[in-house]
Amino acid sequence: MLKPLAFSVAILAALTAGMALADPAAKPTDPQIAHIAYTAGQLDIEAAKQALDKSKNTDVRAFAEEMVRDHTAVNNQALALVKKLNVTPEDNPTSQALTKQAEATHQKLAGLSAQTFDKAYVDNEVAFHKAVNGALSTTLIPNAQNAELKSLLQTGLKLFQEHQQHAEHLAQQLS
Amino acid sequence: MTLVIHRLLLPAAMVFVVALGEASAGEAEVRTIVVKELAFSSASIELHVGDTVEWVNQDIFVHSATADNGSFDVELAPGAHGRAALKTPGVIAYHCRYHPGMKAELHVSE
Ligand SMILES: [Cu+2]
Repeated sequence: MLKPLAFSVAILAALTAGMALADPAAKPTDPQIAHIAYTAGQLDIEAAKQALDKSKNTDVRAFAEEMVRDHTAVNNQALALVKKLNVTPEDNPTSQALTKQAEATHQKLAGLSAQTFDKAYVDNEVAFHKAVNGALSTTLIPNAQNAELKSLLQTGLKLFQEHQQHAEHLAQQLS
Repeated sequence: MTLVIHRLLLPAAMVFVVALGEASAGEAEVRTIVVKELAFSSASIELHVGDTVEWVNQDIFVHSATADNGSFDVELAPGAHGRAALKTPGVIAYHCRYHPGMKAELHVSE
């Protein structure tokens, strides 16, 4: 079975260790921050698409549709912003660690039956949003230099917090 | 001379409008609540039975204004607005179906 807590810790470690790996003294730059935030959104959209493929549960499907809708909206805004600011999002160890982790989760979830899938997906959504919320509030938002980027990240944080709460309600419902 | 009459008429017309406004104060009104940054604007507004609440969604996200007691359920697309008529007095708690932290209340008097 999947261990959401371990998953969350792994992401948190990746989010901080990733920075440290690049350069112990370095703080993430705006192009890196934009890349991490965008990647987190895309990964959640991909997870939701997997749920829409596999799940038969109405509430789980509604949640997944919401993830696709909300994260697409934020990421479209992010793309418009980086274009306007003439910033090229820069790949970095944190984005890579997040992506690698998400691929592993995707594979684990792919092997589950529709019924066990629902709970595992929702538990991971709780853990994923919790981890990203932590990274946004402790690392990404404080280090963002551009005011518009910072503001978009703050909206992103509010959104991720709402999604975490929604996922927690859903997890309770399923157990 | 015409000009003088207009100058005299204008304040008179304004008084008339103000009087109308006062006369309709007790009648049904449309009251706006802005939805922005994943929150219902908290500015407390006085509501009365017969009034209509209009939510204006200024976010890029889909929200809803859904009464806990089931009396209304308004879907709000990004940039869209939606209405609910208030038929009974009391406190109506409502929330967004998608974002459970989005909660607010309507205080409706007779
Ligand atoms: Cu909402």
